[in-house]
Amino acid sequence: MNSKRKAWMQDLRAIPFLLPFFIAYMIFTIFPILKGLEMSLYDWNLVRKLEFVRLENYKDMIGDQFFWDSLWNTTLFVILTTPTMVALALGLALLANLNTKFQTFLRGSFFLPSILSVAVISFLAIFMLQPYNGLINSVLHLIGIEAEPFWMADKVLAWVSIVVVTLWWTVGFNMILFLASLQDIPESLYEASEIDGATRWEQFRYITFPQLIPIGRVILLLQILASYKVFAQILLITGGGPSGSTRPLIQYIYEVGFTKNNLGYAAAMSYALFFILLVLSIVQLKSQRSEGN
Amino acid sequence: MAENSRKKRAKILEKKRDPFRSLKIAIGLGVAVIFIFPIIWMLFVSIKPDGFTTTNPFEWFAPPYTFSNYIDLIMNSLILKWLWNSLFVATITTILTLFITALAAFAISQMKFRFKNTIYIFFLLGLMIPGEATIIPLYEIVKNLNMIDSYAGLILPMIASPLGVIILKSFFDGVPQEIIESATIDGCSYFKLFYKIVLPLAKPAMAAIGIFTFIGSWNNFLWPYLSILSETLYTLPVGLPVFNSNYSQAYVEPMTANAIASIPVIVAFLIFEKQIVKGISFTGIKG
Amino acid sequence: MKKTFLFLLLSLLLVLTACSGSGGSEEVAPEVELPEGTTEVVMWNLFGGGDAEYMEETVDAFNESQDEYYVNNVMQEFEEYYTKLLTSIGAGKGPDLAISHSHVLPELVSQGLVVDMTDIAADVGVSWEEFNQNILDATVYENQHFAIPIDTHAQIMYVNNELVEEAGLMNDDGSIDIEESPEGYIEFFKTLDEKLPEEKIPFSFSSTGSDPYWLWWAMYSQLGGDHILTEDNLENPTYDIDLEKAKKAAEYVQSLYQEHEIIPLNIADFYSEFQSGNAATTTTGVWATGIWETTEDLEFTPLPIPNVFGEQATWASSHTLILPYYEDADTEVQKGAVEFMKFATDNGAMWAEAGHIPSKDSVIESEEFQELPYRSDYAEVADYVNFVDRNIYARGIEEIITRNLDSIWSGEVGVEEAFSSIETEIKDLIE
Repeated sequence: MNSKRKAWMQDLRAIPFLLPFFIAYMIFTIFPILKGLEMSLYDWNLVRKLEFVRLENYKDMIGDQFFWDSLWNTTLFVILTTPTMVALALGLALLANLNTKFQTFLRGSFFLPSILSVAVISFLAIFMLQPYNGLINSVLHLIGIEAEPFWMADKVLAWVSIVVVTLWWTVGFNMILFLASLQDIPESLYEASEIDGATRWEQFRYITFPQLIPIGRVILLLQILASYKVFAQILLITGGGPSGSTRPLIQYIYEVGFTKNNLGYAAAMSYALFFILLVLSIVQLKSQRSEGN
Repeated sequence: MAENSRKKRAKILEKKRDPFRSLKIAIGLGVAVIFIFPIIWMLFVSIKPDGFTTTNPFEWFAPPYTFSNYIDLIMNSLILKWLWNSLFVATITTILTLFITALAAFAISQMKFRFKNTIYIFFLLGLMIPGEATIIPLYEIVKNLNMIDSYAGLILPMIASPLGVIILKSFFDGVPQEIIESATIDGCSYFKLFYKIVLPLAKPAMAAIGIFTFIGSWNNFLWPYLSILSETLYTLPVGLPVFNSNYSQAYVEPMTANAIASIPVIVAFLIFEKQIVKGISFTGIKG
Repeated sequence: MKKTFLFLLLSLLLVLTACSGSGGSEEVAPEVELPEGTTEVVMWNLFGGGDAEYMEETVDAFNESQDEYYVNNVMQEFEEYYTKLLTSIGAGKGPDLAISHSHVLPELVSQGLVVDMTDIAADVGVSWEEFNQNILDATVYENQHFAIPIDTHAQIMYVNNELVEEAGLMNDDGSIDIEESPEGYIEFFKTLDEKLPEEKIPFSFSSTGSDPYWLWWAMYSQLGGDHILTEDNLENPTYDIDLEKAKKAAEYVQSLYQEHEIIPLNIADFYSEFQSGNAATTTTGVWATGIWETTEDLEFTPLPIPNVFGEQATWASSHTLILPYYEDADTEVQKGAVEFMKFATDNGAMWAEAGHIPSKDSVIESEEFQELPYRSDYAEVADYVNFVDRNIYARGIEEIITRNLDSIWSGEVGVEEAFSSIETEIKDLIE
């Protein structure tokens, strides 16, 4: 009896500490999952819940070419940006780790774009990439190239533009992660190899690189996860065009839900995204767990 | 002193070891210039006379300069209001996030209660729930709470950060048990223990999470884009595109808007570079 | 003790932030100081450029004309306008009075988002017989009035007088020398291309989006095409495009971009090219008149889109004013909104300054309107415009056709293929 009461007292004391987080977490993180399930089973628009349609929204999704196209676009974005991102981040981290008087300048410059708002970087990109009088094409004309590349209106070039802009914007973040890891490598390892007469390349190959593999794996997975959520810069730069060829899944979900006023179907597609991201984050957590051990 | 001489030695060593050092520095500088060039260009365009346009790249950087665009925009547009909104939302989001995650992490780390592990694991599940994938039902929930188009609707859904709980819990776990015990024996209440002893020790972790949360909120686009209807409540990422989608499209005005939105963060970055970098490597590696 | 205090503080913070946001409909508009004793009517409009100015003028005039109501005019971005309108009405935080294009009305009405204003209008004294009946019809559902139209806005052509004269294409009387035939229309631009300096654009036009879609619709209509869906049923129409004519129109417009290279591809801002005197012609909605007119050193002539294929027709839509539906709507506010609608249409000449064609016949005949330059040159267009089909799918269909036409203009997809995917997509949409 007494011990039970004591347990109660202890629970009671913990509650004020847990409750604020618990409430916010329940309402805005857990409940949406259930709500989303409900919504995906209904015809549901911006104004009200309409009729129960069972799995109709999911069936529509399977047969919806645009769903698959946009899912593929998102996947293509992941495929294009992830390896380039990791490689570039590593390269920049190595450069930024050089012991020179420019070190602060290098780090600052590589990272600076990351702190700018997505709207700013997107419009910088638009103004630089515009045909006829955009900065890039002007420079091309200046050096005698007569071509008029349509950086945002050509299917292939639009992807190039999006990938380059994304790299420029976000690579600084990953560079810092590499940099932190680089600085953790004990100097003694290099000194020892020095004595053994290792070349600079051998040092990189056998000391630096292996030491960076763990953080590299973290960055890779974080990057895949983040890239599956791509939306804003594509929406702002190409609007998903030309004719839908760069439209990512989140943009399609947004358009279906809010422009086409069909929240039920949008919720169903969100579930697809949810499962993709869930699997990826389980993989990520697992690998991090094994890292920790 | 010791730090300095160690650096010097490393530099000498590096020079000796690396035959391509100068080349690498040159590449680094080249890339750095490419990286900041668009930002420099933005600043130059923003001080050109309104309506200016050219196909000669050099002319963008040549005089005449004027600051009247800044005055114009600040007086005649909502940009300062949006700047304030972004700042306000990011600050409150950060404070509330730190507040509720620290409380929860403290309870899980230091207090005894039943189902503790279950609750902790339940909180951890949140790590696997991507906000982007629940945005549609979140919209419906916030709508039903009558918080669409409000600061509360912008802030509250963003504050329950499981990552914050994890990081802080592991930090609190590291607080020496002796300190806690002696405090408890002194009759210190849990709150006092939390506020007076554990929290100050967790400052580095709090700072890291704070910076991370702040930047995340500052750059958040999708949620404000969906949940805000009134121009007066726009945050910068949602507001800036307004300058760009008018019927007539010029360079100078939108670039000035971009510059106004960027200058404060660039200044803040130059001042707090070290802390920001630390915060990111700290939180990024954990997350 | 302190623990409870902390908890209270947090709850207070939560409540404070929560409350700061749930203030109801005054959220949708910047705070304005209301003249004493007036009822505020929050209005949303989707106008930009010159349109915004003239609407503001109309609103100001209304606010000064009486002291019962105050219209608070809020400009919204055009691109996101309908999304926001639906969202805000759905969330109960929308405006009291809003603009809607006539072709979007069926969708809003069928979802119950618009109030039937027949009774309020009778109360306020709106006389329906003064309106152009064609336009008015688009606002009537089962004999009930759901909107008041304020204009017709059609797509027309604009030429830069100086450049066209330089190319020798202006007659002595100031009219434009353009032969109304498929070859003549193209020949006109080709002559401009040849005679003008290289950097001048013969035809400044968008390569994507609405404008070329409207031009396609104009050509389709001129060929005798009338509709895409059958017009007998708002909610369950069937697909009934005149495929041959649709394809012919698309091929014709496409040849302007590709074969004849009259329209440079992907111009970032085709308005500014014409406005800065860099282009000899452009084609867009009549609202541009208000913009060109206030541009220094721009001498221009508006003219109806040439009758290329034998049947006079062009694309048009109509701006209408609506009362969004709320459960707890204030009838006083609604009455004020309709008072404004009556004022705006009675004083349609003010709005016509933007370039639009007034919705009331009485206004078109008025001296005030006749005295405006340019407008009467194309006011006649209102008589033969072809409105897009009236059904709840209008926005969806516009999106589908526009996107598919875009890939025709860029040369990526053939006409045949584009129209077969248009058919699939539209059937998918309406089934």
